[in-house]
Amino acid sequence: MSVLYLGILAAIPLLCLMILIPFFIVLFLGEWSLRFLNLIAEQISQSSLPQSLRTVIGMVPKLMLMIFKSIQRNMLRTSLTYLATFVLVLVVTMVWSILAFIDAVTSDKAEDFKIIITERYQIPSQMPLTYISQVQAVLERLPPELRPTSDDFMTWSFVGGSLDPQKRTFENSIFLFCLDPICLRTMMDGIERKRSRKTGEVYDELSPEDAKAMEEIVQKMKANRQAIVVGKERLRILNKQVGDVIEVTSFNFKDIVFRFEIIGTFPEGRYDQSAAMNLEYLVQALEEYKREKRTAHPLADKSVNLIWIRLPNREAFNLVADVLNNSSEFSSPPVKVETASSAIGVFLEAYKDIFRGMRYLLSPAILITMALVISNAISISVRERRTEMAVLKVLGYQPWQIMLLVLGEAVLVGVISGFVSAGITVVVVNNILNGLKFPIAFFPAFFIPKAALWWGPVLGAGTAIAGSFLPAWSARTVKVSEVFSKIA
Amino acid sequence: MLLTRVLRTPWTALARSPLGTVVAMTFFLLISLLPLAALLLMLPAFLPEETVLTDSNQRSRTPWADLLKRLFMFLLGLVLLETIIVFSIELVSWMPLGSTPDLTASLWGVLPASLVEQFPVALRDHPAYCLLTIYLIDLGLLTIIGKVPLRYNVRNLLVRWRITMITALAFVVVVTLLTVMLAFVNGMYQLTESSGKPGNVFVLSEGSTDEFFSDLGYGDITKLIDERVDFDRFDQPLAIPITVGKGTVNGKQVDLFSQETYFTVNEAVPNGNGKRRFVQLRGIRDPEIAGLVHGIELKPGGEWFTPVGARKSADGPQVLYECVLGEGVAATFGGDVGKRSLEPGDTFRLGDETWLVMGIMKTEGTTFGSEVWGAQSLLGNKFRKNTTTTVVLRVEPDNAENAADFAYHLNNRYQYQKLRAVPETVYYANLSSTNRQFLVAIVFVAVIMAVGGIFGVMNTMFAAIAQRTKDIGVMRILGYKRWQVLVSFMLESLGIALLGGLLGIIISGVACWLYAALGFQVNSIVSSGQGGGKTVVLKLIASPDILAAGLLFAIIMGRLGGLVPSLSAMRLRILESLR
Repeated sequence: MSVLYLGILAAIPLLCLMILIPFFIVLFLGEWSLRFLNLIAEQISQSSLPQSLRTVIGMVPKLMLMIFKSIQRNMLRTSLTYLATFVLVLVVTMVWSILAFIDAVTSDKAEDFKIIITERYQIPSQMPLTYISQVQAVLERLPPELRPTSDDFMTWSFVGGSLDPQKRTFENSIFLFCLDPICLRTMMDGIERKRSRKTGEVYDELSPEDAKAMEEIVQKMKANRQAIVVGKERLRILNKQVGDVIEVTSFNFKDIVFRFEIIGTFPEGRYDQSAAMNLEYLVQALEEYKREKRTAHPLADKSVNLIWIRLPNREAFNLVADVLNNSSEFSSPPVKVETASSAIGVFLEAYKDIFRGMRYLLSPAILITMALVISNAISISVRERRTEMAVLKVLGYQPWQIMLLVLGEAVLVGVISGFVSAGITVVVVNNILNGLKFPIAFFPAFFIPKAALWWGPVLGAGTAIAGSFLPAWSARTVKVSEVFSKIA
Repeated sequence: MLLTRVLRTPWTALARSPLGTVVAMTFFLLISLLPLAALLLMLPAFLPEETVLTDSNQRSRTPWADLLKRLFMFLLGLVLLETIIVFSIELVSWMPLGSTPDLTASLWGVLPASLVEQFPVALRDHPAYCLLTIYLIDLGLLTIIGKVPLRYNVRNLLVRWRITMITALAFVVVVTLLTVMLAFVNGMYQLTESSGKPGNVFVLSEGSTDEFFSDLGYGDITKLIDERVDFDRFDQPLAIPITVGKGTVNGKQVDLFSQETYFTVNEAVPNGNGKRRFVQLRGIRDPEIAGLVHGIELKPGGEWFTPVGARKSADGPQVLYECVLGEGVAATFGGDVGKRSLEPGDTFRLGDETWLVMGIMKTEGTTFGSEVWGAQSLLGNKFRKNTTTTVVLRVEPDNAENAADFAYHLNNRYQYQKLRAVPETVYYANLSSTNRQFLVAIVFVAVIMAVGGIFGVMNTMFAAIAQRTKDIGVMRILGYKRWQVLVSFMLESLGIALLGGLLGIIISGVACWLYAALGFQVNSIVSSGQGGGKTVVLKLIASPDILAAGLLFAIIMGRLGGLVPSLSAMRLRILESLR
């Protein structure tokens, strides 16, 4: 591992060169495109269009071309600024991706309004199996337009166990969601088929290949109670493969040994470390325990951990919550009803200071550093080119045009580096690293959203403007007489 | 002849090729972190026309003499390098830094453990101090050997004060952020390290990594009280057998054996608009014994709850659940009612019951700060967990070795029940798994930000050199050697880095102190990484080693950012620079 770290360190200059290649390509293509546009603009400026329009059409490509040429004047400085902006946008993109995901999972979605029923106080929630039918009975009493279908209902029981009961380690342990296999495709976040409430259209979160594979898995699990599906990463850690039969000694359902057949894997992503089994197998195992030991398992009436329901709107949620929170049917143990987002939010409460630090300390600090780096580079550039600014003024360029030139240079570098950085981050993190492995609650990895492709350029442009404003203003106020008197 | 050809091979031609440039940059990146004074002493070994120790250069008569001279300078440089390193480590070993490894010692994890074990103790446990001392000594040596007057560099920094301030400000931001983040992780580490007693053994059910998953209710756990260990964990007979220790409560001798039930309860935040939070509860069979075992006392004015755990309210038939609170959770609940902290006599609602605060535990710096303690039987009935999850016992003789032996005995020799016993310090150390992950993430972010800062200082230095090309030519004409020009610009870069670094650690140190002094607390979670975990309340601890790490980071950024521009200044030819 230390050799790997040294190798990465040694490869940094090579990496820097590779990161610069897209920048050079954009500069080259941009400059020649603008030269071409400039030629066209010159032709248009001789046409019979209104004077103001001709001026604008003539000026814009010329200014842009000047900007492209100016930043190529000192490629070392431009490259260093580009690289600095690149790495800082990379960090901000990763931080914002994590925060954006957390914000998304902790806010209610109108299109996919899910609620969770759990025991009111205790963690982990432990409810009797009878609550399933009781909750379904409550749902049947809802008005038809608010009533969920059978596809909108799911229960979870958690089964944890080890392949080696004598020596339990992280590497030989497995954590399973115990549920009705159909729910894998109707209710499990990230791998479900969804129906749009507005259009009624059914769409899939999975690719066609993954969807087909999951459908087959569901059918196999329905046919074979002992069939399980495991995340790829967990399968690798267990050193098992699809088709293997494993014996899992449960550590929460004590004295129960499950015999599973691994019949498939989850699509890569959210469930890489998890597994799913058939609820009927757990029920069967509890009944067998009772037959053998002549007493019910201590967790027999505590085996349901969560009940998920997809409801059409908040009105339905309020009706269900009102019944479940106050009904004597659900008093032993008492239950609570909350939206999925608020339930997840409770788990993330312990991390709130970390998120606050990321949002209000880390991100602004990185943006400030970016702005300072750009400000530094532009200030040096303006200072060196005071004579050039004076000459431009003599040639008739207005102060605002000079200011625009300086701002334009900064924005160009910022936008290109921001876009390239965000693009590379999306590809590398999502496709090569399979997500950012950051220890937040039960989320194994965070992915970079496509929105990052516009975050990057906006960040680059925004910090470029912020950092280069004062130097650009200073360039605007260059006094021609002072500059030429020094030269004289 | 062959030797001559080897010595005169045109390395510069190779270096000028693109591959050569990348290889050269990689090489300089790797050696830039070595003490520069020692590297300069080695310079004549590679560039024989350069002199370091003498003013004039006398060419060797024979290739063998030339080779010997180069070898001598190389070895001299190595000797200086070793001297600086050894002296620094020795100096640090004399400092009263304590025997506990610093947070920065965790970063040795990137190297093989067998290699790290060979390091001197000071370097292994206090790497930030050692490296900082090495670089400061190197800086001092450079200041002494650099013949270019320091006034020249200071003047240049002052003349270009805007650029200097902008560059230094970037350093301030990076170092402040790094130090605050490290202070956060340091707080977590100190919390987990100080939460356990060396002589305590933490007993869970077999296979449990955390109290959350443990259930000791399948056997008579009180049999442990009479357990006696005659052999250590290496099966050697013990001079003094280990037993469960004794203590005194209200004049009576008691066994230091605490049976506990750990709960996590989900409750609605008062006036929180439906928001909920987790509250950590610990059901205790005997609170005074538990206090003795965990080494926890109550703040003045408080008392432990009764074994019954409840009482009638003074003004009615309402039943009040008695409890004691950790300082962190007392502050959290106090915030619900607009108080800084709940006090003995206050009440709060939890689980549809009213709880009476009997006392506040002195739990600063421990994970118990986020816990509510109540009577085990009452809590078990209330929250449907009528089982013991944890037994904590103190061994006699009371020390860490005996705790380890007792734990081994329970795991491997105890017949009555399958248990998982760990010394309490080890249990809490294992909760540092999330700390390590946060530390890695922080280092990653800091390194990335540092890259940005390095490019920033490189920009500044390249621009400074470009503007002072004539100065460099004049300095060369006046007789200053090329390496002295390099030293001059390196000192300028390090000056900016030191300025930014010092400001950064002052700001972060003051900010962390103020944050704690004003009573703000930071919430986080510690876990062994295999499920479970405890919400903890911690402080930002910007200890001296953290501040040293921040300053060290700034110096490293300055070195990396300043070396390449300084090398380019060094390579300027006199005539070209004056043209």
